[in-house]
Amino acid sequence: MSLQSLQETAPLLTAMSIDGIEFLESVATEIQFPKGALIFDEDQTAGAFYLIANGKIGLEVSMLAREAHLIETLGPGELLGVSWLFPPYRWSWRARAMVATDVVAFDAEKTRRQCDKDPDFALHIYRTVAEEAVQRLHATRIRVLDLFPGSES
Amino acid sequence: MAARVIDSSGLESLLTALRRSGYDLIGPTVRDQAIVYDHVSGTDDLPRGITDTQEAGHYRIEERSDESLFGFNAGPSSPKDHLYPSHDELFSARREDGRIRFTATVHPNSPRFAFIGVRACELAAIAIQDRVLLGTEAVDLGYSSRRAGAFMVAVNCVEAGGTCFCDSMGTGPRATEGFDLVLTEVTPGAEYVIETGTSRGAQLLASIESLPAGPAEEQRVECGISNAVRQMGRRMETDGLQALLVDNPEHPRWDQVGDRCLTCGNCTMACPTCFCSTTEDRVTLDGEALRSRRWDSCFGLDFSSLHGHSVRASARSRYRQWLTHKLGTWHDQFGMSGCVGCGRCITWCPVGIDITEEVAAMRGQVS
Amino acid sequence: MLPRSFRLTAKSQETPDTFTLVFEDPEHGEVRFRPGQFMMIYVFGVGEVPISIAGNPHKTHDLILTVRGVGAVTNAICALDPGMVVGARGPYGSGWPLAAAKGRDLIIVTGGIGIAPLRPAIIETLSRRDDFRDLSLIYGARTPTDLLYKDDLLGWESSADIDVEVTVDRASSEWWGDVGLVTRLLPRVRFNPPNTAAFVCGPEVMMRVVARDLTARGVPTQNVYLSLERNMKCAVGFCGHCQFGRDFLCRTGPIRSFHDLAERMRVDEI
Ligand SMILES: Cc1cc2nc3c(=O)[nH]c(=O)nc-3n(C[C@H](O)[C@H](O)[C@H](O)COP(=O)(O)OP(=O)(O)OC[C@H]3O[C@@H](n4cnc5c(N)ncnc54)[C@H](O)[C@@H]3O)c2cc1C
Ligand code: SF4
Ligand code: SF4
Ligand code: FES
Repeated sequence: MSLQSLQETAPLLTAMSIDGIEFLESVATEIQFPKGALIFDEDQTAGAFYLIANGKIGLEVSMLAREAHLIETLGPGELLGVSWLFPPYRWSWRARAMVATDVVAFDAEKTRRQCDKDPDFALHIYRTVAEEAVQRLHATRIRVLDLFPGSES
Repeated sequence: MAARVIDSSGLESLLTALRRSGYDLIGPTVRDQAIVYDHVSGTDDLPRGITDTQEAGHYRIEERSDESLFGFNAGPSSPKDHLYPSHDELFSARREDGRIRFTATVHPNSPRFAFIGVRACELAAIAIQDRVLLGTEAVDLGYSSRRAGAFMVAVNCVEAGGTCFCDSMGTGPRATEGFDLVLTEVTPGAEYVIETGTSRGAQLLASIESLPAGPAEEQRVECGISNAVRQMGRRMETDGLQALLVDNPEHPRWDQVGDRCLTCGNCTMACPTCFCSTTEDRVTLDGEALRSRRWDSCFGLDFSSLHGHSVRASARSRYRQWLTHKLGTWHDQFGMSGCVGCGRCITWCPVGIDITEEVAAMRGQVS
Repeated sequence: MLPRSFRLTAKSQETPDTFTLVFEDPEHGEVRFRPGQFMMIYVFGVGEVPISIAGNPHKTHDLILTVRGVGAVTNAICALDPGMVVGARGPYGSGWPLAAAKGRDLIIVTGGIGIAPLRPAIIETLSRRDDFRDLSLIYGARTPTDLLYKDDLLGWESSADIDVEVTVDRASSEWWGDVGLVTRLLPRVRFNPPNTAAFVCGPEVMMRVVARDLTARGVPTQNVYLSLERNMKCAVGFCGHCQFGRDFLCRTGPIRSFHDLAERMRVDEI
């Protein structure tokens, strides 16, 4: 499949080499999740990672005795999934489509193998994931301050 | 009108004439072991033969070896206490016909004060408060009416105290403006050179007995003033001071002074220019609501309170706010320094924090 | 300096602790204001506090305020019943610089009660939509329950004139909006950084990260406006409480450009 339409919005694809894009296209599948669909769940093997084309995905944490808590939402251009890149390659959270959502899924194992073979490609992948993770870490730290007044959820 | 000379009975007549014209005389007098501004009726109430010694955190009154009436320096109070009293009612409100009827507290009969013995630094402080409280957008009504009626009999300092530095701040020891009459005590308790600043001052002077001042008397005025300049107990270098403070909010000196400061607010209460206030609301037994203004201090924790916390929680930040405002941002806000060099904040600080020393330290001139 | 008497004509509950109140002054009529200006609201015998005007700047007969009850005076305001009276003087402050946003993309970023002073600005920009290019609102709250102006939000969301992104800090899986910090939504809205203005109002830390993020993306610091909050007792430059470095925020108005504020916002406890 072609990733061209996503190249402008997705940090993963901007500045990636032509070879890199070609590789990703070779392991990509388009998927449409209907509203409410479970994309992956805590502890499952992380067999793919996703680029969101349209829609909205919620990361949830199961609260066992009560309804699940939404901890973060992700939208167009954003990367879903970090756990696929690091052992033990298992998901930490649950991901669910909050509205009808189009994603591109990339095969995790093949991408990891490509990283072993191609250091430039690997650098780009790790850098993108690290930048994304750092941004989310910063945002999470601010949220820990609990700045806004109000009620419990 | 050229300078004249009066003797002690001339001074008495002057005070009497002011009283007769309906002025409420406010002058220096001894109370609770300090020389303060209070109601006086004549020269007998003035601190004859009394002086003060002042140092950082130290104030004592002592007897002089002469009969001088003005042989002392700035005391714990200043004309601010009368022109901008620590409590002042702003308005009253009543519920009436389904609305609140507000009535501004007017001060038509507020006493017309005649201040006796006001020093150059105090006149400068009044000019600063004028700038703040008689601003263009809003006017403090109480201040404005008391200020408008006030008559100023100033005194040039011929001696300076241990914490004085008006010379550094360019505000004294010679009174140059803001007075109706200005005296220089050329012979302690006996002889005063008197000059006029306004036509009503001149009119008053014309109504009492006086002699023209000759070159000898004028010479003694100059000598006295130079003597005061020589005696300045403190000095402060003002060049670039504004930027020094504003640009150094993280200077380590703030930590040191913050460790010493008790945040008691004595300095702001004693300072003749500090104007910060808060408001108080209460309801009387007959259902009237009163709102008044009360002096406040930037050293108080509540001063900067927002819901649930204060912006300036540490003593360091509160001292920094005070000093940076006084000598720095005051220029941005009012086009002048907020300090006239009277030394009160030094004398009345229980731990002897010295504004001039803090400035010198910021400049790296004190270890 | 004397307040006018205003009567409460309507009141609605926005969240458990926040109410929107509609007042009128039958005797003197309207209160004309610029979006972002505030009033000093006096509760009989209790005290006086600054509250932003939250109404429509073209419907000035009503004085509309949104108040969160946090202490003596604000709780007393929230406890008023229709027919009861308060005092109000103002408006004070200078308002949002709509002129500076003219011809540009405008991003409004706000959190918590910070949306109150921006509501008139949103209404105003929508009423002369052609003056601006892309218009977006990013609004953060603690939980979905804490969102103010839910009806307005629904209306704005369904309009093509403004892109509305709403996010909360915590939510159950029922929530349809976003979860995360407001800055995470910046990549979702359209703006051309060099030709963008931003109006930001919320907790100071939030405003700092938003301003930093916007300027890192290329929005000029002169075009990013924040609304600061300081204790205010007089609103006319007498009481000294509202000082923020060299400014009396009551006189300059609490809305300042990040260009002007950045240095001071780095100083703790200023
Ligand atoms: C320009 C401006 C606009 C505002 N607009 C709104 C608004 O639209 N809606 C709203 O709900 N709130 C608004 N606020 C905040 C509101 O003024 C405070 O919540 C209110 O002053 C709290 O007073 P209180 O007596 O209820 O609380 P208390 O905690 O009992 O007040 C104690 C003291 O702290 C001061 N104080 C406490 N919190 C604040 C604060 N956050 N800001 C300034 N002074 C404070 C009070 O004046 C009082 O002196 C605004 C503040 C400012 C400066
Ligand atoms: S700061 Fe100190 S020296 Fe200066 S005017 Fe005030 S009290 Fe006097
Ligand atoms: S400087 Fe001195 S007088 Fe002023 S608040 Fe601190 S301890 Fe009190
Ligand atoms: S609120 Fe009083 S000086 Fe600004």
